[in-house]
Amino acid sequence: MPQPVLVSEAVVEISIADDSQATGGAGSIPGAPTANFECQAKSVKATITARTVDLTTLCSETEATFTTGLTGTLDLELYVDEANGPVFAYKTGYLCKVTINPGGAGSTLTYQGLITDSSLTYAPGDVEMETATIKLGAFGFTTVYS
Amino acid sequence: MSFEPLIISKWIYDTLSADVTLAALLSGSKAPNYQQGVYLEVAPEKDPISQQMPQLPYIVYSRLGSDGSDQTVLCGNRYYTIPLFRITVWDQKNGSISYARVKDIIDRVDVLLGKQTVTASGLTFLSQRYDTDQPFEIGSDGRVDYGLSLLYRFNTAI
Repeated sequence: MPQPVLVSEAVVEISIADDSQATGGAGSIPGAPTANFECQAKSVKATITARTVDLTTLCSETEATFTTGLTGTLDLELYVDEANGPVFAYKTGYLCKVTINPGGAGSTLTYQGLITDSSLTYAPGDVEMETATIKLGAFGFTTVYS
Repeated sequence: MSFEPLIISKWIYDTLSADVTLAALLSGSKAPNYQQGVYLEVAPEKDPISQQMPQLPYIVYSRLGSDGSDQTVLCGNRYYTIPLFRITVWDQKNGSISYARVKDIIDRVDVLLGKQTVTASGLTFLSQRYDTDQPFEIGSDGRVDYGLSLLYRFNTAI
């Protein structure tokens, strides 16, 4: 009987490039993630979407959808660490890699893309949180994940 | 990992019972600290200091659950929790109710407990006043015990 993957002790590693994508050069491509944020990460959601074109012709009996490439987004929610501060502040426009291993066979994936959104949330008495959205498959990468 | 509410409960007791101003307000016409005057959950049948039935006014505080469930992170650890505590100052009246005496006491409680950032026993928490209430109880002899309550959230980083 299939067993579910109970997410506990999931690994969440993040690397952000030294320079912005617009600056270009070697510094705009991040290295492999090594900094682990698993004990700050509240949630991670990855969505991969196939870009398509419609090749339906007048004689087609069904819609003839054709894949042209992959895109998608990675949404992260992190608690802000008191000593280190926010991870994604001032980093919109930077390329980023995020490795996730929630456990389970073959489940380690490294997502790569461009940080397009980051936000910080402050509310009285609550802990500070940050969220980031990474648009996968940015210029500088050849795949959305590896 | 520890049972955080017990650490907070101890801090509440230590803070309230150590304050000289509050002890004077609770003593009424008697000597300060003639009885413990600050009790967890319920007033005992016999006060441990006076060895008599607790005399009003006094303070009773108790845990009131948590504001939501504990927050966790992907590594599997708990990240923060928000226990709630209710602090009630009780007094009694045989005629019309006057809050004059209990108001001074509850105001002092709020000075001591409200908006405090505390590190105790390796735990850091922020107290935040959350709600108020005005409970009363009518005894079988017609005596009315009435009180003023403060509800606090203790935002606790684990």
